[in-house]
Amino acid sequence: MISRKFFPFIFVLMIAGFPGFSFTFCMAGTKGYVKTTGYYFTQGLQDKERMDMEINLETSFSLYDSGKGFFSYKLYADDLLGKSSRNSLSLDEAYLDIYTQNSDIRIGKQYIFWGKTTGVDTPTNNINPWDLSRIKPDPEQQRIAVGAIKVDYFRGYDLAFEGVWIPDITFSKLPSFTLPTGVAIGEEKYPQSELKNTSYGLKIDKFGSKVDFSLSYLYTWDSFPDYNIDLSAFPFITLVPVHHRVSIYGTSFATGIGETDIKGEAAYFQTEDTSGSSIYIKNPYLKYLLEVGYSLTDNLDIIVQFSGKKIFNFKSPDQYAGIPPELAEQFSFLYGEQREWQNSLTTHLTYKTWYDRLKLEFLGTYNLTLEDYMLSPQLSYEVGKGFDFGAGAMIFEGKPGTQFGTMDNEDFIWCDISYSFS
Amino acid sequence: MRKSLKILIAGVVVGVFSLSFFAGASFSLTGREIMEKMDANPEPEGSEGKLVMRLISKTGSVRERTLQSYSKIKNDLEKRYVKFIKPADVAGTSFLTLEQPEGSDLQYLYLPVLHKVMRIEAGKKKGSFMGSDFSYKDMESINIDEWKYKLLKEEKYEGMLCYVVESTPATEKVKKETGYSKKISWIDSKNFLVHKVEFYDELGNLLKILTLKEYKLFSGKYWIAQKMVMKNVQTGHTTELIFEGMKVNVKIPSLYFTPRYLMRGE
Repeated sequence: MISRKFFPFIFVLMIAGFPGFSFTFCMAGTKGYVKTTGYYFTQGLQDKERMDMEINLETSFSLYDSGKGFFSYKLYADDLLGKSSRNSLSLDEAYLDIYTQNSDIRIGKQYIFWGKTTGVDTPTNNINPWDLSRIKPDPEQQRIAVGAIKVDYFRGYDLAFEGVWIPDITFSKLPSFTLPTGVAIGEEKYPQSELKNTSYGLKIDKFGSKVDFSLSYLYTWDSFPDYNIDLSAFPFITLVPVHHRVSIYGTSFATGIGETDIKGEAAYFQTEDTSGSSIYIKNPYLKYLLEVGYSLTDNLDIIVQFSGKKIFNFKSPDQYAGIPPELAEQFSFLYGEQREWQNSLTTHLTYKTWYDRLKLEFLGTYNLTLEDYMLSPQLSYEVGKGFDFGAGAMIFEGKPGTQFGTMDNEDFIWCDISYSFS
Repeated sequence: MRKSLKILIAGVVVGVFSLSFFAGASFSLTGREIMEKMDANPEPEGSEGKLVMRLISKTGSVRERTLQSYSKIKNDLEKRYVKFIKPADVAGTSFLTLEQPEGSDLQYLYLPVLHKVMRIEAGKKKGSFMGSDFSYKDMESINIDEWKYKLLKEEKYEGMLCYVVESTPATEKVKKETGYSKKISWIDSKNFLVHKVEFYDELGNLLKILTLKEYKLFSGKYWIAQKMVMKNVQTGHTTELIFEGMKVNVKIPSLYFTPRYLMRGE
């Protein structure tokens, strides 16, 4: 299996070897941004203040009607106040597009986002893993690009078939979390880089009609780990993160009724534990989302999403024989299996004024089942000459053992200043 | 009356009528007929060009956006593709409008940060297009059946004799979708080109004034304004749209007007 570090070199070789390269190459442009963000954690669980800087540089070149090349780098300086050292330079995306009469092919490190609803954490959008190791005000920026080959075949202008092959096995980066006394997380086990361990998927897209819709299938790895128990250091318990296969069958649609936008998605996740008998592997589950969008006024838009999850062959923690209830509860929490049905309501309000110079947003998610919630008000202001200013807060509330409850001590306020250039 | 005087008077009367005839002052035209003539002005089947959008605040500060625009008419239906080139923070945002035989246009938006194509909410049509004084609905092709017309008067505007036509929404749906209770248009009597439009809000107050300037004749038959200025008289904000390097009847691939092209992020 090809190591990811060779991607830039392979990319350059592909460009150089492309037929007619020397005659059809055209530099399309370079652009990027520099963003500095300051955080203040109100609860004091960690260092109260933090400041980071992100520099993004992207370059593209056109191969005219034959395709294009694109790559972008991200430099993170994770702690400008110097209290820790987590600086990194990473290749964000690097791909080559090849266009034929009926197909578009993209090869390289890329983002592949499926689904027709708003946001990136939606039921059918499962190809790119998450980087949750840093808390970011904007969840859209927390996905990780993967090395893949994506082929879109078009029948006419309104029907597309997309096939993806993902040889690059990348998993989500998790945040640290508190465990019961005597329990620790072990070293994560990854599948071998072999052909049989690659991922692939297929999507059919129909657009340009009264209802746009898609059907999708993805055979991949669960990017969030399951856990095995290691008792070799008993009485201390080590939870060893491991990854299992999952097949995801999905659908999504987008339409409008009058002035109201209606969108929806659903996906069935068939895990390896189809009977739900093993506590070590997630049960199969269904994720669903229904979205309604409406312009309340010329400047005020609202999106409301009802989303949820249904766990098949659900067992409560006390129903797992031979597992201490406290540990079983921990597994339920880690797997998001606290209840058979879990539903949430998300509201996103956007108000634009001063000719889109100032944007005020409010995002709130309330878990109707576990009664925990997250609130995120924010504003962004276009200063001018490439400068933008942003500020906001993230507030987490809930009982212990709930998703937002465990983040209760991580409320923070933030502000950033960015400069975009081209 | 002396015979010579009678002949003189008759000659003046005939001359006046003749002048009126040759000057094209059609007193018998209705508001609807004027708008039909305006709508009948030939449009190129395809056009492309760079568009500079200048957003000028009441205090005079200017924000500038540069867009690349393509449009095509096929089977009487217009398709439009617009992509932002500058400034850097909006570069790559692209927008596709597909006129439908019935109902509202279909619109798609591609935002580079989202890495996917989004179908745009129908309710957004009244909202501002990218922070300008133009609404999304203003950017759509005009459907003359959506309005009722009345010829108010004829007057000179910028040295041209113009018909002044009042347009009112034909249905409540149009009024609600556009946000306008009426429009008053100045259309010249020679080429039936629109030079000025006043937009009135739902309360009947003057909201915006659009002026179309620097009309240029392409290929000997297409009149296209190279500069459009929309001023919001209630806020004092102005948007200028200036076409640069416009080409008409160029062969624009139909591919450009598809979600496929948006997805490429070209």
